[in-house]
Amino acid sequence: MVKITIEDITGSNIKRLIVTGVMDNADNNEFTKSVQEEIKKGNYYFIADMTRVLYINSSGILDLLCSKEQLQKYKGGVKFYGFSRNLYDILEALGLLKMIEVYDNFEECQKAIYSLLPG
Amino acid sequence: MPEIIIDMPANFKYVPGVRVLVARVSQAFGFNDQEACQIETIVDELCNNAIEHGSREESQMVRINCKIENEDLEIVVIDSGTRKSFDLEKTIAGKLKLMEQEEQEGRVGERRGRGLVIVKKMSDHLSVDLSDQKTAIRVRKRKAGSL
Repeated sequence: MVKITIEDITGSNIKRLIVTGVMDNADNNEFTKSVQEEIKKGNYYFIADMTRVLYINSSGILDLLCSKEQLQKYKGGVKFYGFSRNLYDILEALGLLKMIEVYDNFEECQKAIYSLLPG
Repeated sequence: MPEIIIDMPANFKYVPGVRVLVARVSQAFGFNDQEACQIETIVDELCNNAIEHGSREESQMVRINCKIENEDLEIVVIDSGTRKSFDLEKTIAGKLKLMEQEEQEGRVGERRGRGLVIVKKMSDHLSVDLSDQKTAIRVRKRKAGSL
């Protein structure tokens, strides 16, 4: 099971998504659902903390890709940090590091997401 | 040679327990943490594939057969799906090409089929045996540093 906690990032309209648990066939697109709920509230910019993700498979990866697809419609985006080495290897093996943008830490994600903000 | 045979009802809820079991057993036979993680992923993707495309009813079973031989772990996942033809290499090559295109164009595109690509990338050998009553996907994983 996966749990998504959403936090405000003070002084911005960026949200931090803290992902905890296992992203597999049982996760039922929880990540995309959380993003969709935020889109309804007018939030389009996200930083995802993946440090508490224990496992991800192709179904979980699809969930991440779907959220990106949703956000592209609104010119928004999501940047990721904190994948374990083993999970990062899966993304790399699939050649997905352009689609799923992974940064070294929160601060690097923040810089990258600011470049998406209008004005 | 040590061998484990697991018969699992064709339901996704059994897969996490099975994938973790095989990964832990592989560690007991000397596979390192990274390899055990890859083995967990391989078993997961093959079992999910078997449920999705082969044994579609919970009354049907998926068999996971693991053999440890010297430096190799052989994993065979058998479902009761009857595919008339299935060119594994062609399927994976086609999927990889499509994924490269999607990556270049920055679009999500095709939603299915990444599981077998992951298995291919993480294993040392991958093949499929088709018969009238079952499909068996066979994977070989070698310990790091072995020839």
